[in-house]
Amino acid sequence: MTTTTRTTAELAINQIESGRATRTVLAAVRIAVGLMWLQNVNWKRPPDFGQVEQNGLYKYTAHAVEHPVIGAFSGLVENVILPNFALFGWAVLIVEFCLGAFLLVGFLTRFWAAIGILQTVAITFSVLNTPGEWQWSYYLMFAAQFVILVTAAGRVAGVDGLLRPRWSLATGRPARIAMVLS
Amino acid sequence: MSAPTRTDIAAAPSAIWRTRGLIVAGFTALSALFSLLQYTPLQFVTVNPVQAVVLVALGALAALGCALRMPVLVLVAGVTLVVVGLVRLVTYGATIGIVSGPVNAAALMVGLGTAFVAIVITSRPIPESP
Repeated sequence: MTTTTRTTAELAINQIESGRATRTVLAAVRIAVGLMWLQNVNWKRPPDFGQVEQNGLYKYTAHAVEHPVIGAFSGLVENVILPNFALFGWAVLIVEFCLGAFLLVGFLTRFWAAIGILQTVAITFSVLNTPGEWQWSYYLMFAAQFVILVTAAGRVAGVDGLLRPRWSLATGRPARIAMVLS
Repeated sequence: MSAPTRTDIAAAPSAIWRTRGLIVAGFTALSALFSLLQYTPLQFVTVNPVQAVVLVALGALAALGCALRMPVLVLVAGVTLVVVGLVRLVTYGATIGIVSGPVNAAALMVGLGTAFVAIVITSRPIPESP
């Protein structure tokens, strides 16, 4: 009984702040990460995404083979991605387009934060051993997106915050899925 | 703490949705200023002159809708932003008449358009379930 009481008291004393400052910072982190993806989507240019001139997205993807981080990922890039590069390039363009658009305004934020983490995994495995790269860029990308994911930061100054009350009352599957993803 | 009911979650009062709409409309119009910015570290979005005109015009339309209490104008601005942004995404890499410009401005348009549509949705009462 005493242990339970002490644990409850400690939880109350150490409760994480959820006031205006915390909420403002969470929204700012989400918006900053959205702007990061937005700023970096431009240089993924179709139709060849740099394959002909060996620059742009092709060059950075090829680093996974030239400076391997994980053998299996390097093999995947060499044997699957580079031979089908236009398809891969369009997938990256569309994903990063949506990451920028929807993290910025906080729409289905937890889903897009999870996608951003997966995209960061792919980028990290591609360029972590490339000379001149600062590895903390990628570690900080992970950190920021995990914060957005676990705090569901779109509920503050975001579209999720507007729509979740309505989704919570709807009975259909799309609304239930949206509740999970926001 | 009980789950919210339909009564708890009513349509946003007029003043609230209009304020939200005006804020997003302001950001939409102001984002055209990126077209004047030449300092790369702060150029989060690259906006060409045509895209700047689209952002200002649709931001003004949405602001007008808020001022006149006409959410349909906000909806038109939002849907147009989403469509213009998606058209640029699928045509990226090509210049077709005035369809040109960086794709990150198009992503910005899709995001802002989504926000306008969400604001219009919350301005309406929740339909009663059958």
